[in-house]
Amino acid sequence: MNQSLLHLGHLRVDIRVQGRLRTVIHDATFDIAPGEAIGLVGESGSGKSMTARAVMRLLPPHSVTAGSIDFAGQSVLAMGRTALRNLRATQIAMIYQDPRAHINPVRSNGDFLLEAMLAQGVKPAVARERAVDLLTQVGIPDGGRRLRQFPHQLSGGLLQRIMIAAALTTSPRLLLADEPTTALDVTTQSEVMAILGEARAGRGLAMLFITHDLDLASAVTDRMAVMYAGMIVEICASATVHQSALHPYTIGLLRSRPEIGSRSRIQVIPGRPVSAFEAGQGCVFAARCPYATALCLSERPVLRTVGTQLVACHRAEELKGQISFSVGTAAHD
Amino acid sequence: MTSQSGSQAGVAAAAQPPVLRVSGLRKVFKVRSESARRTEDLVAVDDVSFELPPSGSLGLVGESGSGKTTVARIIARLERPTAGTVVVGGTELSPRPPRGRARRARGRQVQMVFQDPYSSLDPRQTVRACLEEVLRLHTATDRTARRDRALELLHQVGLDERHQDLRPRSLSGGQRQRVAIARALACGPDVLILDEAVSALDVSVQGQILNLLADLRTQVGVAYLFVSHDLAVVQQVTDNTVVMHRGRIVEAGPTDAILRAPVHDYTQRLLSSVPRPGWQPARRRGS
Repeated sequence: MNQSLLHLGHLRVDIRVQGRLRTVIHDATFDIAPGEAIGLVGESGSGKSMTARAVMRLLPPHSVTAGSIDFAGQSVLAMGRTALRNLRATQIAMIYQDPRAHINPVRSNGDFLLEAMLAQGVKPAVARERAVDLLTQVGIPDGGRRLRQFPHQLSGGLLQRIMIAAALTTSPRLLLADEPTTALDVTTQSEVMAILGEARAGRGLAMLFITHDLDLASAVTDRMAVMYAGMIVEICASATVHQSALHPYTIGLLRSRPEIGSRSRIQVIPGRPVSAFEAGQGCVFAARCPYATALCLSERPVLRTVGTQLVACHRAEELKGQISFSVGTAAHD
Repeated sequence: MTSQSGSQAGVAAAAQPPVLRVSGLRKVFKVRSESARRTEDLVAVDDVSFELPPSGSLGLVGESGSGKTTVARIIARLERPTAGTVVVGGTELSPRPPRGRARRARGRQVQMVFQDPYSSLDPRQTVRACLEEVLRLHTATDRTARRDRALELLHQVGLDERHQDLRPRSLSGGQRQRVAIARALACGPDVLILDEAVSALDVSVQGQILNLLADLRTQVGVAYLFVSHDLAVVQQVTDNTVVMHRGRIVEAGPTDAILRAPVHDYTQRLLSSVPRPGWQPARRRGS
């Protein structure tokens, strides 16, 4: 635990929806070591974005958080205003899916990029020089001109690079990247990921990479945590996830994606992804799992060590290598 | 019929005439220039030609700005071409958007399924009313026949009685897209245009819809024009593929061959950008 930069211990989050508390995260437990990249993979409503927002304490008002979030040994949940401000300003940076929705359209790109540095008392000329230098690093050669331009004059790919540069201005130790390439074309995605990789390697920057794309997470992260209905159901090494996945949901997700070069019929998980508050008292995946037993419906499995990885499944050992899904088309929901 | 340079996606369906033939399609949009003083021409689609055989499936692949959606919209008569012809079922479509009876006749030939199932269905209409409206407009059937047919359509797309009286807000994204597909199939079109029809869906639901599309083609015999940026998905649904880049066709041929051995630089770059096990994101030189 002393090794980890970020530690989440049995994080549970309830947010208030129309006056009533609704669970959005049941149990999120994982560590990120300094310089490590963790993928947080899941479908819509799985709670992956909420996990990132909980780390920054950016949850909606009147949310209830239980469990622990520690950054570099300090409890984020116990932080006062000044410490929290310092954490957000200098320690953890965030990159969002849609740069157009997160960059002020009426201010110039320069205003956006320099804001954090100026707030820390960096002289404007120095800050501008540093910004142009960062823009060069993220593949924008004519930084001076770009700083004078406004967000609407830039393409989505360029604007996302501006956001990455802005995240790097204060030399953070952890980057929370929430679907940073989902809105981009694949060729642009490839470039943006390469740029992110270079920036991280040079700085020893850790990353929590949130995505719905298992193949992408598998390629650009060290380990991945698979999330379903507010629960982390499996944590394993990213590079070997295709061979080593144990949880039926992870395997189902892997099989759901067609693979280039093989045209066989797709094995599909029946039904639709459920939200955390819809999950019963048992395993969150039980309703869609072809291997669910009475135990799975009544008792929620916790994340435990099986072999070299962590998995939250009662039947992980006995099902190893046995899991397959139907190739049907019906919507069983 | 397959000539690479002439940007023609020849589909060697020997005997049967194509159900859709597009030739020399061009679309120029007038856009305001940066100084906003005068208008400039933006060539969105430039000399695009291809054919689609009956019950065939053609992928139209490209990134944003490639012109793929504009081509689809021209064929569906949502956009007027600057030049070129679209022939559906042997008759050339008039360059002007049709009205009244002619528009309904066109509707029986070409139907479209859109990307976002959250905005393409009427929020106030039940599933049954949505399907029966199409049947009432396009087919000479009585009330009972329409009700039976609507239910049959629902079964075809993997839904059932329970979904009949629901409105879109009570349906999941995958179910909505199933309804959109059922609605498009209701009047028995020859060509179904699927414009990024599975892109907005969750991965586990996307697989279900891909299997459904494969089944429907064999059952119903409708031809697909499948517009997408996602090569893996295109492979799953299509026989032939046209790759577009900046309004032009850069490569065309059987889908499997293009994915196995892409010839054009751009297709190669597109394919190598798809994440897969062992993939390394690449930074283009000079960027």
